[in-house]
Amino acid sequence: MIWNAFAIAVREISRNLTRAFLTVLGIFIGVASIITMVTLGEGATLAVKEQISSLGSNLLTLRPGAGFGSRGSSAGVPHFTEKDAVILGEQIASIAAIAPVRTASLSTIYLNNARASTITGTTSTYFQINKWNIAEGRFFTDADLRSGSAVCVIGNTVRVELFGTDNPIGASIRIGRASIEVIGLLATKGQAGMGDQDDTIIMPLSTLQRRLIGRTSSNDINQISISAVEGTDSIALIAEITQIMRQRRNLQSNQDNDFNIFDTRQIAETLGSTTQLMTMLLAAVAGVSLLVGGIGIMNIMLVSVTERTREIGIRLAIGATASEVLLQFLVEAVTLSCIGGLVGILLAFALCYGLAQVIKVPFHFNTQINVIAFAFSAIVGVLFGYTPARRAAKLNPIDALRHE
Amino acid sequence: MFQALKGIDLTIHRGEFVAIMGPSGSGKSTLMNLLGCLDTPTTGSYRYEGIEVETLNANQRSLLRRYALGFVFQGFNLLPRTSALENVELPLLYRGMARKEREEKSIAALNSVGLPNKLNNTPGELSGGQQQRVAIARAIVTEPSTLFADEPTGNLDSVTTQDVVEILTRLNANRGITILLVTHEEDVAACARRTIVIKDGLVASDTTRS
Repeated sequence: MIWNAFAIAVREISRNLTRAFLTVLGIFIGVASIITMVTLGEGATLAVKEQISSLGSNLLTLRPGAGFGSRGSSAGVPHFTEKDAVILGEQIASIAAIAPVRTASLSTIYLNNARASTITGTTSTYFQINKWNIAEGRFFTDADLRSGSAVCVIGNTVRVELFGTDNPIGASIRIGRASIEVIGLLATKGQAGMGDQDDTIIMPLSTLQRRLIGRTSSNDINQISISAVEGTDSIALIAEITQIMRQRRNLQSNQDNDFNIFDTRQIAETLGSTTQLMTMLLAAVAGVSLLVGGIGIMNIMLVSVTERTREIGIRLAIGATASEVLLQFLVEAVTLSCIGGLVGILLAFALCYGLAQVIKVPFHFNTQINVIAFAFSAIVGVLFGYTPARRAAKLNPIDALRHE
Repeated sequence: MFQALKGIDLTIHRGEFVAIMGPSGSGKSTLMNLLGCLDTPTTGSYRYEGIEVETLNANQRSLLRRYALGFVFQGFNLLPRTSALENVELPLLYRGMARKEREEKSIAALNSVGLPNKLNNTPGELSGGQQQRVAIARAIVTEPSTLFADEPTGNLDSVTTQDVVEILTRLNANRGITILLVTHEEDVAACARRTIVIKDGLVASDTTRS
């Protein structure tokens, strides 16, 4: 009986391809849009999280100035000293590593290629704190730092812009007035929320101070990078750092901090919850489109209900039982909904795969949303395909036949 | 409540050819729908071959139609966009008959109503007379013991009317199928041996030609 109903249902579908197509269309657009939006939204969340964690998960950055906003200007505020970094590292147990950073923007030249680059002068712990890996060559060492050797490591963007296809290791580039040897190429990190991390040149702090910009004061450190010991409460750590820094900068109790501490974990949490909100918004939009698809199916079914009621009347009159007719309609509705759902899933897969590459987010197949969308489409299809048939099959055959 | 039929007492024997006549609204179609188990009476008793039809549920009435009754309607009631062959096969499909046997029987039925060349035409591609012949083929393909024809010639011209009447007469004479024919055309009713006239829901006359 089931096989029979299936045969009749398939025959009935093939006889009215336009109706079948419109039904399937309604379902598959709904399914495809909800899966695509949720998957891409999740990909974006994941991408943000990955980039934040590539900055270093327990990373704190100490900067001069009151912080963000209108009072956040660092103009006229004294920078830090190398000693500040040493003292903080010695006095706070939960600091795993600390590095003073001096940055400068200088022109860099290799052969005929010239560009402005941001030069970072720091100590060798900086690589560990910021999770830099070496792709080729080597990092600079403490010996390089002590002697102020004319060496640097470069990020991939700098390599591409200055060297093109040439091997940068061992080559010398002109930075400002000095000639500096490239000893290492950093592994790429990609775009973070705050610009191209690979556009960087890193050298020993002493090299930057002595060879490139000259040293006018000991207050020439414009940033201190700190990584905390794993599992540290960052709020307590920030409080400790604040207390020591206020002392060292001779701030009275009625004076505001003239430095700020940037905590990547807080930023990660904020960005994470923002993108999650975005994903939920997208899912809501997609849910509406699934609903619209469902209403489309309902319309098709209702428009054809007169014709189908007569069909049910004919089938009953020539000896079909109500349950046979209903089984046929059920199989029809399930078949169309499943085809629509499957086509929707395939389309969503293709869309996600393509779009994920275009907007550069990781593509991660979400089984849950696929199952939910498919189940929803099946329920909508069956509900709207089956309910009118149920009503018609309850009629006396002659009333179904006479239905106008 | 309006009563289409007010009190009908009838016995129809196996193999009879009965014409039911009467003016519009007299209740003749209602009578036929009740006898054909397409409708259920509010009160009264109807026995078909000894079966108490009013005690049957909808499912059992469907099975009775499937195995014993055939129908021809004024409006043909063929499935649209469905070939003549598939329309005729439909009742056999519900009987669970295998495909090959189904096709052979359907082709034979279409042959017997004179449509051997229209197997793959849909109702839209057939004339009224041809559609009605497909409907007759569909009704007789199951070899029913009783055939109900509700104004089968109502939508046809005089030439095709004659064709349909001939087919019905032949079915009754050659195969012994009991036929109940509702009509308001005297010359169509003339092919039946027994004529029952219904008026205002009652039997006005019941005559049998010798």
